Amino acid sequence: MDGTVLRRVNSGQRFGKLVAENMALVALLVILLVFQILTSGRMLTAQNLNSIFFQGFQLMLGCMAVTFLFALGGLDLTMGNTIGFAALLGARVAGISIWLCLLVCLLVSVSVSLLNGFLYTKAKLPLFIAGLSISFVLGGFLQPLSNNGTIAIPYRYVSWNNSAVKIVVLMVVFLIYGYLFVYTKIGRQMKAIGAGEEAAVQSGVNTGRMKRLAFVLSGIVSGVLAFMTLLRDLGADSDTGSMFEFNVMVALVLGGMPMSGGSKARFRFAIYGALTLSAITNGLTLWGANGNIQNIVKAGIFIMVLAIGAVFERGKDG
Amino acid sequence: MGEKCLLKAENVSKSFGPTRAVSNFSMEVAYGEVRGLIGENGSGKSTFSSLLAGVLKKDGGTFEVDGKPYDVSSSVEAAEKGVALIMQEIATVESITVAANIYMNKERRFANKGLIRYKRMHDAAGKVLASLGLEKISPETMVRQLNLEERKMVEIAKAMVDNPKILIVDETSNALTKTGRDHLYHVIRQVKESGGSVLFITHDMDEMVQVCDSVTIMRDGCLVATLFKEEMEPDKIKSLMVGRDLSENFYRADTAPDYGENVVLKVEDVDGLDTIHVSFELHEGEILGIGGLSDCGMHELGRALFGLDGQNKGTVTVLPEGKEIHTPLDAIRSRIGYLSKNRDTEALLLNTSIRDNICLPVLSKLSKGGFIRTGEEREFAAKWVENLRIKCRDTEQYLRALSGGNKQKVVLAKWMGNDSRIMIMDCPTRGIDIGVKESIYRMMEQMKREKKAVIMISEELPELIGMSDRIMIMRGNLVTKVIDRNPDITEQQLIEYMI
Repeated sequence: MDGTVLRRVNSGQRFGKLVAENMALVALLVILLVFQILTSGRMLTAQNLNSIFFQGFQLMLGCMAVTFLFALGGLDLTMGNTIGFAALLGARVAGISIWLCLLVCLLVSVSVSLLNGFLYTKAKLPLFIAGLSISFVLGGFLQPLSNNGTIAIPYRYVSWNNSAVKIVVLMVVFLIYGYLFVYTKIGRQMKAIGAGEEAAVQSGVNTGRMKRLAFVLSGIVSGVLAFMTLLRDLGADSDTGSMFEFNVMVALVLGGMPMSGGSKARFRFAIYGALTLSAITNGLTLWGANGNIQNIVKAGIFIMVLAIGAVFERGKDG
Repeated sequence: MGEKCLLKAENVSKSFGPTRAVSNFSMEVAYGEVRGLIGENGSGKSTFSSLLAGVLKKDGGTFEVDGKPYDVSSSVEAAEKGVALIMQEIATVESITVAANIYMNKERRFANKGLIRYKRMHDAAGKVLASLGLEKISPETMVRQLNLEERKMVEIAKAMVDNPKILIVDETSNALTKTGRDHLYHVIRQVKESGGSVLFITHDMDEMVQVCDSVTIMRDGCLVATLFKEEMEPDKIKSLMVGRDLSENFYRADTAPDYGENVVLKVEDVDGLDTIHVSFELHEGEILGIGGLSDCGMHELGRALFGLDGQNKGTVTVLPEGKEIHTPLDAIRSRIGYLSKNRDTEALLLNTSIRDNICLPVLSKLSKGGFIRTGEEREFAAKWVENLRIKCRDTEQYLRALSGGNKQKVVLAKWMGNDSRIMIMDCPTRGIDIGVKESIYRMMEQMKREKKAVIMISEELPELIGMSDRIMIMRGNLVTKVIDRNPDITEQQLIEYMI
């Protein structure tokens, strides 16, 4: 019975864990190199790396936003259409004030996330069904809201779409969300829910509240994303935000996030994944692949990563 | 042994993950012998009988029945080869008739051109029941309408359908009344007289001595000894079971209730999921045992006390603060801990580190200046891992890989880490090896000395008798009896209030 208790984590195991948890970084490097060869050296230029980063900007925000939901074993299928919906409504008031536009974007997406959270925790609907339904409802509004065209915002805001603004927004979300996930009980409790809901309840986790909070955290960033999209495109149409949730899901999985959530969820996976997917998209474009082919490749990668993950998980026992 | 044996087991082994439930176990049972099998819970006797009856698959070793090798992969196959098992749990199917239960998996016998002739099945079942003196149970009744004892009788009939060569009776008598037991003994004699063997598993020492020709004692999955008629003395059997003389106490040494006057938990008319109606007071330094059959409402009561299920109409109040418990969070804030009987799914996160499991309820306390630091969590977890001597690689190890006993210790560490002053333990020693079991008892005594209180919900009578200051027996969601600790309590006495 008197087994010796080791206080410290053995350094070899620590290194193994470090490698395992940062596999996505290795994958990112491999992808960069592969495209470097395929595009005969056009991938790894300072300018292109810069554009990978900024093309990945929206994806990074989106991934950080849903990290909480993913950790507790959920997902947000409404994200893309929420962004479109919020952007179209926001665009309509942008002429009055750009700040009013931001406020509308935020209010609309947070309201949708509250509705999602309510359906999930109070009406006890399965997340997948509720998400799909809400997404369809929102999607139905996009066409009429856009008057079958583009709702533009005043041209003078073109100057707002610059690197400095993006970096500030990214840093603010990174610091706040990263802090909440890594250093407060919010992140740990959400991971606990993903690892075992009943056990989390019996350890004093208010699971309903945490689930609603996860949706709201996702909703806030969706609002920011809607606003940033308006600044980038100087308007919105019925395609705005389309399929964004799918890209976010692919990116997170690429980054190493387990689909079922739980203890293995890490905040940095959001950044890894977004950059990796951005690099893949960028490389494919440089290589000359069109949008359809890009989607096929992304879906293929998504399935492959999940399958490899599942095989590894099965191989491990005890 | 020179003469031929009906049953011969050689070096039979079975492990569940890291736990060796049965290891290199050998025994021989003669024709017409009634062999008792006894041992503490978790000693491997139920596992052994499940292996023999084809319910579980053995890892190694051989069985021989009637001189022929015997290797079965299902209970149906075992029954065909003449080995029948009457299980500890109720194993009848509620929504079909008595006859359909008796002839489950044997329906083909009554088939005629692809249709089952129920009339013939009912007649045949009626004959089986009559041969066992159970005429009062009609083969056409739905099992749902029968009481627990009658259901057990149906299972006996099911086992006896084909006059088995070997009948295994696994702790069946616990739930039976005097009449029920007489029926069971009658069946045992019937098998014996027809030259078959019976393996009889029971916790009741007197019953064992009375019914059995010999007794095999198991401990931690191994054979300890086999005693024959004249050597079968209860005290000797007990000390062999526990592995040391009983003067060295496994349970508490004192024989009278001993707790403070201050009430720490007041429970009034608690009404959980199953409309339990229970009121009681828990005192500082008290171990309150709650016993009953598994569906008596005691497990639901435990959940309700911890604020689970959220439907409580009565009140659970922590004193002296006077705070009421409505959610697990209320309970944890009032420093109440809860060990669920479903440890792996409800009390622990298996695919999660020991550190995260221990720290989860106390994250607010570990947070300094708004930051929870992993280093500090590790220190905290390591402290409790050491205090409770949890066997593990380090605090980052996932719980999945730990043994049952060590997992249970992690649950305890989690609540002791929250400085719990009231511990609600539901089946705290279920499926746990004897060493950890004893350390849990010592921990309960430690809590008692520190004027903390324990509610121990248990289906194990020796544990209730051995550890409680007061024993509260429940039946049908109501308290039927409260007994103060005294040296004269017998299991039989408690059972009377349970059924």
